[in-house]
Amino acid sequence: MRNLFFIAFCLIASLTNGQVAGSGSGNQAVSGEIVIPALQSVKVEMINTAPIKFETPDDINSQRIINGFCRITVISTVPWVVNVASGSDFLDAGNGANFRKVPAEMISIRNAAGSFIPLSTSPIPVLKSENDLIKNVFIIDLRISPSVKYEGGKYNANILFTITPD
Amino acid sequence: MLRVLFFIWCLGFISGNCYAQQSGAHAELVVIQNKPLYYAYSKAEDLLASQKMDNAFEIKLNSAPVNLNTYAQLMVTGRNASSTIANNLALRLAYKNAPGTVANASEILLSRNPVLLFTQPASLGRTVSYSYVYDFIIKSFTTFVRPDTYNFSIIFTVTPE
Repeated sequence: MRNLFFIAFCLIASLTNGQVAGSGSGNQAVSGEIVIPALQSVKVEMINTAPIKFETPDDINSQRIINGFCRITVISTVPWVVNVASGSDFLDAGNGANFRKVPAEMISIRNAAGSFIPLSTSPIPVLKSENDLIKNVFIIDLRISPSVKYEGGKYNANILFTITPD
Repeated sequence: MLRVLFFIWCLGFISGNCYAQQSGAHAELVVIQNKPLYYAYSKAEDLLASQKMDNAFEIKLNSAPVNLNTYAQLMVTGRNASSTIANNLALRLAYKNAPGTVANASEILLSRNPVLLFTQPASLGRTVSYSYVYDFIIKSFTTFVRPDTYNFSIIFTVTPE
């Protein structure tokens, strides 16, 4: 019995020495997780907020191009398209004056290809990703084509820019 | 019989101590994660700025009779493991209590290959445990990122110089 106890003691002593030594470790790791959904944003800033005036017959009979009308900042993690649309079929003539019907299509937005796109309530592509950069900034030109057949007055336009994955 | 057993025990004790000394040369590395390394983007604008997790984890390394190099290596798993995110994770040393250690104090970009974090100089005195606290950084993105949940591991390795 005494011998068995001694054998057990010897084995435990030997094994214990080995375990303590073996706990030295040269390799450890940490883990984590990053979630990136498809994210997009479009920001529109008016560069020139002064009213656009047509005050003479010549003004009315000619188109006017407003270069650098607004700045559009697009941020997207995936390829994208920016569409433009009018908030309504007609421009807003203010309180009680909406009997004056001036169509929104009088206003056109210059697209990336250089063509002017008349506004309508249906979204029309105006910008498209042409590189893989997350952030792109564009300066947008506007064209207004007034006509003598529209009644004079002060009108507001609600132009909507929306971004979608391409 | 007892003498034979005593001899076996001595062999076991000596071999154990030898292994302990070898192990001491490699020193013991312990990494304590102070907070979850988790970030979920919710706004596109957030991708344009670095996201920093202060004091994300602590590396504890015992002193040893040899110089010790500590490396970090990145492993990204998932469908889009080879995407741009594998090049956008970094560490920055926030704190250390090892005065003699040569550590890169600037932002260290992680990669699939081991990158050196610090070199702890040899110490012949008693064993001391030194601490190195690191911030975890997701750098800002400049190009498209595939939408996905990216799982990653940072593997720390210590080798004698």
